[in-house]
Amino acid sequence: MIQRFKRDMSSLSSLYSFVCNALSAYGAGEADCFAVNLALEELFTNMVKYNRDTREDIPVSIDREGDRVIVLIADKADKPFDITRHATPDIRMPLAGRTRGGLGLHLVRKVVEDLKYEYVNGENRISFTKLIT
Amino acid sequence: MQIRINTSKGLSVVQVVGDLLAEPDQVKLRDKVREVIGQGGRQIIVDLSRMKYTNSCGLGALVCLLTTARRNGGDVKLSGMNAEVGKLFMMTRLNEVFHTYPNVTSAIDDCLPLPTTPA
Repeated sequence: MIQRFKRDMSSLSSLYSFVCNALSAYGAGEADCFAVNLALEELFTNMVKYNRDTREDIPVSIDREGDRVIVLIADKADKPFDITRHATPDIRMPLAGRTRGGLGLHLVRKVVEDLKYEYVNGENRISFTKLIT
Repeated sequence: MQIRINTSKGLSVVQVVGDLLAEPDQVKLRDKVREVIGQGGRQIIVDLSRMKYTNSCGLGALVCLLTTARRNGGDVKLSGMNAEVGKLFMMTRLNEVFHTYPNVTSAIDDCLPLPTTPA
């Protein structure tokens, strides 16, 4: 299943519906839907906030392969930007010592598997998988 | 997302109705709680029982409330979060930062009277 989303935070609710419908069609439960939605939403939000050089829609695809779903989100961009290499905060630090930012990526890494990045045909592509439980 | 506030005997219960997601939600919650603190409220319970979903932005908003309350000699307790939201707190170790309770009643029961501000 693939759907394109307007590059705007107002797309978050339709992204949420798309994820829930796709995961439900693939037989995934609510916890899986929560995890995939969280990961996609964090990535989508980053693309909207930090890539202001384009107004192109953001395509998202979700497919089932065996016991897992494979998710891909792509962002049109003039140059590569690997969000997966971005530093995440040290969550062992007391609150006052924690740095701002990076929490979203930390959560993405925690809730999904096989997080991968590639720059292909002028797109920053991020893919991940989620085992259906 | 809607915010409902119920204040009684120096204790404010801030109920989040809907999902705490993007920046406008964050700002709305922050402003409401600042209002409570500005009126002298220092014991704040954020009731999350009607919040199904949140993300890093929502967690950041709750941390912001906590630091604001503590700077003003108060505290923020969280109640009623669902299992999935609870997992996010564990993944970020924020469960070690906040006092969390299964429901508002148990959070209220655990609220000790704070020392009064000197005149």
